[in-house]
Amino acid sequence: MPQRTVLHVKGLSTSFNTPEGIVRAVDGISFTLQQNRCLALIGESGAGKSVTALSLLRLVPVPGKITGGQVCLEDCDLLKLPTAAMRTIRGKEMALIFQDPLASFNPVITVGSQFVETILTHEPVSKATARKMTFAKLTGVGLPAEQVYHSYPFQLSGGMRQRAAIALALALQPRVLIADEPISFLDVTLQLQILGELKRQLEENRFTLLLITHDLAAASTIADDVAVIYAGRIVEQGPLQQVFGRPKHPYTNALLRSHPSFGRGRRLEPVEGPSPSPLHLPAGCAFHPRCPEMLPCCCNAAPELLGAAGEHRVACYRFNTLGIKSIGTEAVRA
Amino acid sequence: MKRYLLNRLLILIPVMLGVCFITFLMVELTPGDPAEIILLKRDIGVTPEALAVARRQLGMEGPVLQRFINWLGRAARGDLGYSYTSGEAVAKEIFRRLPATLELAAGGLLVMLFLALSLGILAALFPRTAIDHLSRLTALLGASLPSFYLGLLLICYLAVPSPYLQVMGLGGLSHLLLPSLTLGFGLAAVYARLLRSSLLEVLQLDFIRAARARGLREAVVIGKHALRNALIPLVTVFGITVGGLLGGTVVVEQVFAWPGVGRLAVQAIFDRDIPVIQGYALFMALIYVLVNLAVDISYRYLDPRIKLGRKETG
Repeated sequence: MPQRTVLHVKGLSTSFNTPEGIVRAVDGISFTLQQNRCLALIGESGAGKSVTALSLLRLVPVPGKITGGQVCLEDCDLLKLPTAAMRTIRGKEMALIFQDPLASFNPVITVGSQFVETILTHEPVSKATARKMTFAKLTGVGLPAEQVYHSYPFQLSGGMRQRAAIALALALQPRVLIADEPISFLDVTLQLQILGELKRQLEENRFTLLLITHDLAAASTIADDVAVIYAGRIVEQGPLQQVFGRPKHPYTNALLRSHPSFGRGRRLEPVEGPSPSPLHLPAGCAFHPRCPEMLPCCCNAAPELLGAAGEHRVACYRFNTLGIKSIGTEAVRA
Repeated sequence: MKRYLLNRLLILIPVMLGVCFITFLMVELTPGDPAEIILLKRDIGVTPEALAVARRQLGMEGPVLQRFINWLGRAARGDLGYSYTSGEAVAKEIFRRLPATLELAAGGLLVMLFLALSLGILAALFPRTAIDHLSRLTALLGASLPSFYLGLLLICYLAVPSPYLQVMGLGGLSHLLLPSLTLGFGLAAVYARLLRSSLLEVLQLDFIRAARARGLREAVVIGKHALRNALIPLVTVFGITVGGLLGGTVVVEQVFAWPGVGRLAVQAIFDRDIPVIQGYALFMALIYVLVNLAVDISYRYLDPRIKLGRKETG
């Protein structure tokens, strides 16, 4: 099946101008989203995942500012659009699901009227039609539509709320759905249900999913591709099997070893050392102070994201200088 | 809901009794004998005999408690007594002047809402800018200028040069404007600041970002989603402000010669006209508690998370 690129992000940078200094939360990130596929953006908290999500919609809170790059939805660079035109993209072409399912809804307005309001903002339909669309969407995510429609957000359980949030995000059949830690506020059984719901929606509808998570297990259940982000930069990206199966970057490796699903049978090893302060990022590769395989050149300049095998790319000197051979051998072995 | 309403209405009875009793005591404790004042006003010599007659006519004999119970018994039957000075029925006198006071209160309320909403929203939308500072300064002025002084300033600097604005008595918008402004300005100050901080807080919340992420217009995001949540804490204070509004009318009515119940009350206090003072206190307290009841009920519609009558049965 030929892949269709829906969203193409090139060199996206967002920084926050704080009194203590400039924080480069997102520093030249590039990735593409293909239709009906899911890209998982993985990283520790503070790595710049959520800022990336907000940057795509141009909703970075002050004092944050997008400082460069392109966000192309098909052929249209969203960063160049006037504000009014950008508003027609939000919710209609690109929708966002939040971490806290309570956060997606206004607490003092019924769930149904928040659907209707969103639909009426973007579509020239009657209120009755919008109501009908809402019922269809709520039923589509397995909720009792009549009851949920008239409920206030606080009257729903966490799982129902997140289902409703998914329905609301998909209400206008957006081309891109960004899910920012959609399951981390839910308990474990619900997490699987919600992931399953997202996967089912992805199979049944035409959109592309950007899943932002720190949860490697969640990423591995649903994602087709992954991008590992560290200190505002992508350090490794590629198809799920390749990145998780043969991690190249020491950080990806360390993340996988620290997780029970992947470090099976072995003692879990935490990623050594603290996350870097976003105000004082280490020179060169930001991971080098914590890296078990550091080379002398790592302190000088940040490594480029270079191709490893096929779509698999990694930003690491150890790989770029020494690893060429190892691809060769791997290729031979394969 | 019905049960809650019934409970609240029943609680009103002891509250009103308390208000009446305290007012009665306070009048009793103030120096000055109503009988003596009446005799002086009518140019009758203040002899012990004349005083005794006057006291008997006014129903001022016997211990305080007994007089209070007498008054209460009559009040319960709708008879608030007769004014010592004018001789008219107190209820009739109050009802005749009430519309003027309500007009003034409504005017003050409108000014207050307009000023508070505009200053508060502007300050929250542009925090730490010139607009915010201007709003803060206005609020500071409003909070610190006493209304009698503000009223005089407005008369001097607005009414005197203006051929339109009137400063005495009733009569349409030209008369209502300055007293309303005087009354509303001071009350608006608190709300403008409260609304600013409450709105700033709400604007930080995730559901505002979610509303923007759904592509809603900024006017809808602020005017509907943010404001609705930001107003909830302000409504609480509103119940208390009604007291300020009613009390404020007393001063403002004095400054602008407004023929409302406030002026009636002030005159009654000077004259030690006990039935009128009692009647005034009763009416104002009743309005105050009823408005507060309405405020409590309106919560339910503003914030569906609040359930009335569960814990508030006491």
